[in-house]
Amino acid sequence: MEKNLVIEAYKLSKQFKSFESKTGEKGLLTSLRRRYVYKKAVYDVTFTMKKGEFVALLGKNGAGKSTLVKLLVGIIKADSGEARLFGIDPYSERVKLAMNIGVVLGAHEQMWEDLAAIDTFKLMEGVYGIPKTAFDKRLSYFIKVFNLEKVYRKQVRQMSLGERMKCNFIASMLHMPKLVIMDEPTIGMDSQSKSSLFKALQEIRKRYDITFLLATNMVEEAEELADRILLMDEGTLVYDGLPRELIKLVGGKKEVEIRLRKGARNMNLGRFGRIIAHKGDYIKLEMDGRRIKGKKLLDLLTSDNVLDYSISEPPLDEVLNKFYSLSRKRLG
Amino acid sequence: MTMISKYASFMRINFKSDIYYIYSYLLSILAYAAYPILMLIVWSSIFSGTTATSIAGYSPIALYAYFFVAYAGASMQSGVSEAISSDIESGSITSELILPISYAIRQFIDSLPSAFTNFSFVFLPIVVLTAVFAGISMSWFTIAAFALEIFLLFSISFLIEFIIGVSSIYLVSTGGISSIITLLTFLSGGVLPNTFFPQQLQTVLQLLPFNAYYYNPAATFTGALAGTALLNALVVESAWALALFVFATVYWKMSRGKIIAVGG
Repeated sequence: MEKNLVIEAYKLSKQFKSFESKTGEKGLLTSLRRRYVYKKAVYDVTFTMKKGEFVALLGKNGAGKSTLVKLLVGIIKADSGEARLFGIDPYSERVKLAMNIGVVLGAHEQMWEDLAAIDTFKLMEGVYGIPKTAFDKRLSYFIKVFNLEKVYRKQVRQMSLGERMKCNFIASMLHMPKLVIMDEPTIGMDSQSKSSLFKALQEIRKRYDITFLLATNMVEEAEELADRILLMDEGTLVYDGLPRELIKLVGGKKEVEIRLRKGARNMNLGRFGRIIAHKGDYIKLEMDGRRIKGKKLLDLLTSDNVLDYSISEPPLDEVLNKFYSLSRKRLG
Repeated sequence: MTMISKYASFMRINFKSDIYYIYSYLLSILAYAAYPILMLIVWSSIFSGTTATSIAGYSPIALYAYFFVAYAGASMQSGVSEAISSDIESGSITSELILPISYAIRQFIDSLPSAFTNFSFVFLPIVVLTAVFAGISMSWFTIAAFALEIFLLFSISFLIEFIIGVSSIYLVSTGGISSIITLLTFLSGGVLPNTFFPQQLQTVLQLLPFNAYYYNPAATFTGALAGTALLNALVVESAWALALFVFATVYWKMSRGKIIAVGG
């Protein structure tokens, strides 16, 4: 195993069996004899993650993200393929692995609802065997960075969703894991709570050398936090790379705004893309993302005729939708 | 860090959480008392309508003592299957499996505080008061056998409940299995002492683990189960506890990876 690798997943697959029910009177009678259907929740997934990376595992609902997370943390067993986190097999050595990672599950909180948040934190102190001085130091740092000074002694049941989720993060990080895996941690949170959570995460990342894997269906979360995207669709990994490269690959439309110098001569801008706005010396062009670095365009933008320009990326979810339809077409 | 301190943290937080529900707990203690009192009324009227001084070898006092101790013993039964089923069905088991602990050991540890509270505040007072009022005296050997039976009662009921709970991984609902187990335990001394049944049925019941729930401890207390029969009962119970432990361990190991937790 390469020393720098935190996660190695090789051809991971997991299939689930469920029964299909029919509707109507006929369905009522035949439902006694169950017809089982099989779904490939995760199929042939291979990827690695390096120390210090922030990777977003992106995909729509039902794409297989949560199943992949459960395979990686050892909650379920893969039908085939293998995974190693810090060289540890997640399923057979689940307890050993749990000492090295932190897991935040948006759908399943680990806070004890009837008690104050501090009680769950104290539980984690015992479960992970954190020395008292280290625990106190870490807790006061996290409480501050997550801005929970006023609430952490309150009963969890009385907290807002955002506060509860922040508490979940603290509970998952008090033992200072080298890797934090998050599965839809912002589910149901408003944008203000989300942005305060992200700010805290970025602050923690800056201070500690923690690797993050975030499973989400929120494109803007991936855009804001991740260095790299793993894109899942129908159980398979369809893309592994930089967000920017994905846009290039799909050829998403970019918008180029140009402000011309007064008296600039007509430069026949229509040859670079579609002109969508033109008012005086202001021109807005829509063009193919793949051609954005064309030499002729660069010459134009840096020429004396152009006073100022800006290039804006297309929204990532637009890119993803296009990517999904392209990859499906390719698979037939 | 020792394994004990890891689980001791769970015991502490569990106890704290239980105190939050103290009123519900106190009401459940009252509910324990209802059944033996009902039995006392039923059997008083049965004895008042007959000239017989004993039925199936039980005098009225011995029968009352039997029911009080049987139901005091019921407070030592584990009810862990419901919690495990709910963990599996709701998917909240995932938040347990991300921790560096064994889920099975944690469930056992979780059962201990309430078992200890029930032992101190329900079981022991009822047993002592019953012994005083019914004038029952026990030898040191019988007291030791009785204590072992209470330990086996807790262990066997925990293991059976654990197996039922884990079955939720395969079954849509485990309510049916729980009902059958409840029926079998009631047949094993919960409604009547086993000596009221035909000999063949008694023999079958002696070989099953369910006598551990009611009949064996209550009959040991009243002296109806003694000598070789008592030793045989202890051997059968211990063998069942061991077999159930092995089965539960293997079953959980086999089943854990098959959990279908909520989410895609």
